[in-house]
Amino acid sequence: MRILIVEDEPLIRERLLRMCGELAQGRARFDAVADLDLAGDRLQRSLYDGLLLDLNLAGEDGFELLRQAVAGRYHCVVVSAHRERALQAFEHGVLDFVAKPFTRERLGLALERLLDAARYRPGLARYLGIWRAQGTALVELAEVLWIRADGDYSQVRLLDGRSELHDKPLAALTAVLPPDFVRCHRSCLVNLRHVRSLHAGSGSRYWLVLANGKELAVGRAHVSALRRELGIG
Amino acid sequence: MTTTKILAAPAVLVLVIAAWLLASSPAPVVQQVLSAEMAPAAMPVSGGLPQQPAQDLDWQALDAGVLAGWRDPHWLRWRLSAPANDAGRLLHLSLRAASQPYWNGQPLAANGAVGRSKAEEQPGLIDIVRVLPPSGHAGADELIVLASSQHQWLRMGSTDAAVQIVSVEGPSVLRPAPWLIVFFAAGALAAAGLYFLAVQRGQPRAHGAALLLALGAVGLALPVVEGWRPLLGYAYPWHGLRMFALLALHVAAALLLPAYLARSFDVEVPISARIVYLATLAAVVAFLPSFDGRGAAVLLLSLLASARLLWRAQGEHEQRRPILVLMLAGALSMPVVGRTFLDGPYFLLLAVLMGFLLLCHAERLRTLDRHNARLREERAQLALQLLQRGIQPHWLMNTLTCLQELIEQAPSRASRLVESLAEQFDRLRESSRHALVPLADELALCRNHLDIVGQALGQPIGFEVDADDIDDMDFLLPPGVLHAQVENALTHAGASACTQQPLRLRVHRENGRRVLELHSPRGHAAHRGQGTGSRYIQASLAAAFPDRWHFAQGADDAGWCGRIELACAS
Repeated sequence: MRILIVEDEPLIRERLLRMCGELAQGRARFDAVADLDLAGDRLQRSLYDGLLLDLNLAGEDGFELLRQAVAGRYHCVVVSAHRERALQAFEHGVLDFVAKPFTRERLGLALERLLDAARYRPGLARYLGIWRAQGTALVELAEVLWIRADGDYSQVRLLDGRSELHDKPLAALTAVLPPDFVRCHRSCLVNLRHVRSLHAGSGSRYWLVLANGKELAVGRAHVSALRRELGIG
Repeated sequence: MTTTKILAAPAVLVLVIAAWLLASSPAPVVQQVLSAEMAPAAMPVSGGLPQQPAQDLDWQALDAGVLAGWRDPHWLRWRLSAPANDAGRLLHLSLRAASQPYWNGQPLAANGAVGRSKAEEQPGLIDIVRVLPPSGHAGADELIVLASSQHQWLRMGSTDAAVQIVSVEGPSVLRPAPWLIVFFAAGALAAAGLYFLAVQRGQPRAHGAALLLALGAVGLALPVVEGWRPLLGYAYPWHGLRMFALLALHVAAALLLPAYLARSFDVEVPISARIVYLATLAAVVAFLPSFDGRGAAVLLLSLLASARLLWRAQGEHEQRRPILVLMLAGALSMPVVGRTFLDGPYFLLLAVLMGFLLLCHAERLRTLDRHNARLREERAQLALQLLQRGIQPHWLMNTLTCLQELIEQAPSRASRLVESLAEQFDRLRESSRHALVPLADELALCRNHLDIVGQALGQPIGFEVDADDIDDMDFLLPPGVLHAQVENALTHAGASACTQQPLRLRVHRENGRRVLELHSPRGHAAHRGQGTGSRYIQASLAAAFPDRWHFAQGADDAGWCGRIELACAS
């Protein structure tokens, strides 16, 4: 696993590199750069699984950078001085938020989440950042009907019928999505808020009818969990 | 300023004077005075006083000027027309003497006791009223009065010697109604004075406030002294004292009114004009024959002088014009109304004028108070902003995180950083307590900030100062205006860029203005110069140097330049 650290203060960069190296105990490799421009070059040239990002979240500029970061395929942990912005950062889909100054123990927790993201759902995200030609667009998760795996990407279907492609694979997205999103198929997560009914057909065939009247197939292995979440189990 | 406001005070004056004139219309007399005569009385050396004048007395027409000099017992005689109805009549007699009146030969109640000497005389009241017995005949009536003025201590140009016969059923000669109006106006003036004192309480003494309060006190005292005779009455020896008191009050008003107006409206009065005015007042007091004449002349002088001052004053039309109208109205009506003006309209004019001035002054204080409150609030907000900027999380928390690392890596550097942080907070706290700080203190704050950032970075950041004059270091400026520019440079250009290119401050004078130019690295930020730092600089300069500052910033050849220009007094 490769993790990129973005921090402009040399001493703090040193601290993050040193502590992460000690805490990971060989489970990950760490690189460090001073700013997001350099980080962009690195991310294009190499494949990273996680980003440890220092952001000045005092203004809108910081959140624009955050939106760009969380729209990527890698998980993102923010290390910031603006602890009052932590909730907003989670809503934007970060995996964890480490407030400065930080202890070794707190950084260790964040690193664990990064190294084993699948164990740590549900998340608190309210938005998904979607890469577009013009920049990053925010999609509100309440408007999403379902999310389906599409190779290394995820297809996001919205209430208005539009589809968007997210850079993160479905497994990575699972770690940041709120509990409303439940797996209804090996390759699909459905938003329970928009489920109208669950139907059973002949030959153990199950399907959901969604708020827009469309049907969504349910894998047999996920029926009982889905019933439980819907309160009909 | 609306026309309504300009006309309000004159309109109030017209209303109260109209009410006063209505209430003070003279009581109808039932008998006309046909003749008034006087003659010295021949007195026995001892024994009782005569009950009637001797037959061979040398009567002469009553002359108030001559009578004013008579102190020994003398006779006064009035012949009055035959009444239409001789029942139910009242005699009003005004004499500055002890007196024994005889109505058609019948004695009436004595007023004091007439005496051949000061010791023998018991002073009488200056105004008396007696119920007259029926005449019992159809012809004219005769009033004879034996009087003496042994206690008269002041020789005046003339004296009171007046008789009025009115009906018991008709209105009294000494009616209180006009005085009620005068005292109502005085009460309103007192209320305005109290309001003024309440508004002024706890505030620094305002421009001309003492003069205005003294003028208000004169305005209150005048009707009290003037109303003493008609409302309460007094023994005639008090009359001189009352006249002196009235003259003193008139002179005080004549001095205070122009002085207050000149002070209040910032009119520069040349010394020569002041001397001429004072000399004229002194001449009037010294040389005019009667107290009434002196009072009227003093009043007219003060009204004309005040009107002249107001004419010369600039601005403040809202207050100036109504006062000018009042002054001119008073000055013009004096020659028309004559002596009556001093008996009532003068107090009313003074009361309305004083009331208006007090209310205007109080309003001015309230406006000033609101302005000061706004400045205090502005100042508090700026102080708060300065402190908030000094502990803004991105800088503070990063510095603390650096400190954490230094504690583990290099404890001695960590200790130095802690000291620098403590010094920075101390400087910020001290700076936030002042509206202005010396440039040297502001530079120390900036250098300490850069020192902290340099320690965290492991490389020093230079800050060079180039001042034309060593005195420039004592120049006062709002705290944080350079500090905010330094922060901006660090935020937008980055601390690393600042280590490569030191910040440079140039302090000099240009066209009578003090100029501070701070050159710093430019950085790569898409926009710079519209953030909270720039807004803080602009707000601080606007609060400390209203309309006398200019702040501009932008890219220059070498990087970024922030330029502050301040108009300086010297």
